[in-house]
Parts: sequence; structure tokens; C-alpha cells
Amino acid sequence: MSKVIEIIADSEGNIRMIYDDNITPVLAELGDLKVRRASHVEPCEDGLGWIADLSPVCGPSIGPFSLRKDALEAEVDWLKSHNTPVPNGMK
Amino acid sequence: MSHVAKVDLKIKDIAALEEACGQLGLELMKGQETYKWFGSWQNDYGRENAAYHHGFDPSDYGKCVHAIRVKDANKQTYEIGVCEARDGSGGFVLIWDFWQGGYGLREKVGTGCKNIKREYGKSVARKEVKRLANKYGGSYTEEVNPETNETHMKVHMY
Repeated sequence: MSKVIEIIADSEGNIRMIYDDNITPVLAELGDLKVRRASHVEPCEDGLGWIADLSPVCGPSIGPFSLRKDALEAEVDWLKSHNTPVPNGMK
Repeated sequence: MSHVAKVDLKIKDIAALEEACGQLGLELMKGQETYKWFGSWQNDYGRENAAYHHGFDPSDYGKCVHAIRVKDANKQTYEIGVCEARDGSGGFVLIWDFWQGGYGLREKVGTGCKNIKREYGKSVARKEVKRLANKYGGSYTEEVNPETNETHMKVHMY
């Protein structure tokens, strides 16, 4: 399975990315690292699927997905396709 | 006048700093133990980022481990001191006098040295992303989004 890790550097010198065990801790060396939740993947109320709630980044709820892993993948795809937005209260 | 400030950036990779300087038309002068500034402390700047709030006695202003200068600068242009952090972290911090914009220095480095911060961050991130790409046999790409002026560094792992 392919995987893309993306790091975005803005013009002010701030760096953001979707958390990844392989690289985020290394970037903490740059300065003040903050890690915040960007979404919630939760079971549907009827227990028959999964929803990715992207409200922490002012995004929508997407799904339902029958598999949790599909909801997790959809969540990451949404974040990447929206320029990895910064969660509320983190700017 | 002297407004010696500490830049909010912790440097642990001197090679990355050197690369960042090169991107900005600056030069890292390794082993240069003084940096050009107003030359005497006037006790006229005390904001949170004032260097003396971060363990730098004003009597040590002008002293450093390495220095950063503008390439082909005139004699008046101030320089930046690369100094050992005083918080025991083992890294380096940047100290500079921004009086009169450092006579051309701020044009290169940006307010609060934000341009150095940006390029240094990119340099470190680029190195780590490339390391990952090599480790996992992936490929590395980098592009600037012209709308946001943001740099996107990607490692594609297969």
C-alpha cells in the first residue's frame, strides 16, 4: 500500500503536518511542537458503521463507512485535500 | 540604540542553518565569535524577547559562537550572533540588534528573523523527509503553492 507523508512550511516559518510517528517527533527539535486532534472517528449511533467528524478543523462529517479503517483513510484524504487545516484554537 | 532580541527558534543543526542562510543571500561565518551590533547596551529594550530575559547578560552582547552576515553587505550592516542557548537544551539561538533594521539586515532576514526561521525549518524538514524516502525506498518531491506561497514537501512510500 502506498503512503504519502507531507510537510507544509508556510511563509512565516511555521510547519504543519498530519501526525506521523516517523517524522513528527524529529520536527519537535525545531521549536514548540503542538499536537492537536483534527477529527473524531466514531461509530454510528446504530452501531452499523463509522463516521469521520472533522469539526475540529471546521470540516464536515463524512461517512458512514462500513469499516473503521475506511473512515480513517477518508479522514486523512479529506485533510490532505484541504491543505492540512490547523485545528481550532491552535493558530 | 540597541534592541538586542532573541529569535524564537532553537537551532540544533548547524548544517541546516548554513543551507538556510545560503537560500537567503546570507553567510554563516563558522567560528566568528563576535557579531556586529550597536556596540553598547543602552538599557532601552525590555520586551519578552529581549535577550537578557533569556540568560544573556548585556555585557555579553556582541559575543557568539558563529555569526551570520549579509553577503556583500556594507560596513554598517549589523550581523546575527549564533549563541549557545542558556536553558541547558544544548541548541543555539539567534541574537541580533534590530535598531534601524540592523542597517539592511532586516530586509534580508525579515521581522523577528522569520525568513531564517522559515528556511531553517524547511531545511531540517527536507532532510528528514529525504531520509525517510531513502530508508523506505520512496521518492521525494517539493513544490511551492503560488497561491499560498507555502512549500509542500512530500515523501511517497510504496
